[in-house]
Amino acid sequence: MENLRIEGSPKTPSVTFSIDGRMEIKGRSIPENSIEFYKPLIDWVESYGQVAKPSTEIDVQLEYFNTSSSKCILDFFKKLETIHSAGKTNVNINWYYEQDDEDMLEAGEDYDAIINIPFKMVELDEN
Amino acid sequence: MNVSDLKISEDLVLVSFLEHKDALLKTDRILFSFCGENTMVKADEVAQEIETFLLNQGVSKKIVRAFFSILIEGIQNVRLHGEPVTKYERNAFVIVGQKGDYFLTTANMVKIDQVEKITAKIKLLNQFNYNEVKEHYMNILTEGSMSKKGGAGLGLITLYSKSKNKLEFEFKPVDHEYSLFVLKTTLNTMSYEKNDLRRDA
Repeated sequence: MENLRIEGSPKTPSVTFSIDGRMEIKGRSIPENSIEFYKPLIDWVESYGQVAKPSTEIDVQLEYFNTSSSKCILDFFKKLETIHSAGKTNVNINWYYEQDDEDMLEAGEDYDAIINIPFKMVELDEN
Repeated sequence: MNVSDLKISEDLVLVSFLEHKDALLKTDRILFSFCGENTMVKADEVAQEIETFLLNQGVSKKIVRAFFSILIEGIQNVRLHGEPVTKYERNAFVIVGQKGDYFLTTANMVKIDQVEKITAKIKLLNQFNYNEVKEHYMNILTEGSMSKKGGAGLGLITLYSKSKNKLEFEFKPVDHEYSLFVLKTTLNTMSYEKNDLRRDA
């Protein structure tokens, strides 16, 4: 299996998933139909589950995401939860939010409440 | 051409669009307006242009962020849920402006049998306090399924919770099949300035 790398665009975040157990999603996620964008990410995690390192760290640094993405992000986390619960790897999610962006912090807390994976909320300094 | 002349032309979408624009005073600002086919307006482009403009004007990032989300959800709703009726020259409009607070007015055609459902949905939302809207959001996020077009059923909830205001709406009958759904979302700027992120009402 190979690493997954997707360049960011004005509508979609950049994605860097590495089989060494580091994953990053960064940018804006506002496509009208998010399924198309998130399906390869979810499929990648499924395959990764077979070859996963003992520990997996995911950085999620989103500036905006629309409601279409919110559902897909949940499905992505659910897939991670599956491999985490099956004992294939120990997953940790770092959820980044800009200082002052309480809505983004709250969105992270919402996912934390739904998903059974440790979440760490990380505040970024505003430029 | 003025609004009364147009009424005879029976172009309901254009008449309604101009009525909304005419209702603005000289001191109010229009940041963007569009009247045409619902599939032609691009949410991300409009939102990003207005975001840059507002940041350059020195508007606080908190307000710009909230308004950006309103623009994305509101305009994507027009594209996703508006009926792409082609028998009329125009089937949708969008007005973004500032009348004291920033607002987004959208209009799109819906099938008449949807009117009751949408009305009930908005009336329910408009009664919710912070905790209730949060619970409603979480229920739909976890239980709801996605439509083929990519809708998550969370657009109106987001417009309501980000604007921290009641949603204003009306339906204007177009013909025996369609009705024009006009929705106005006004951002309660004050509540963001006051740092009041929990709705108490």
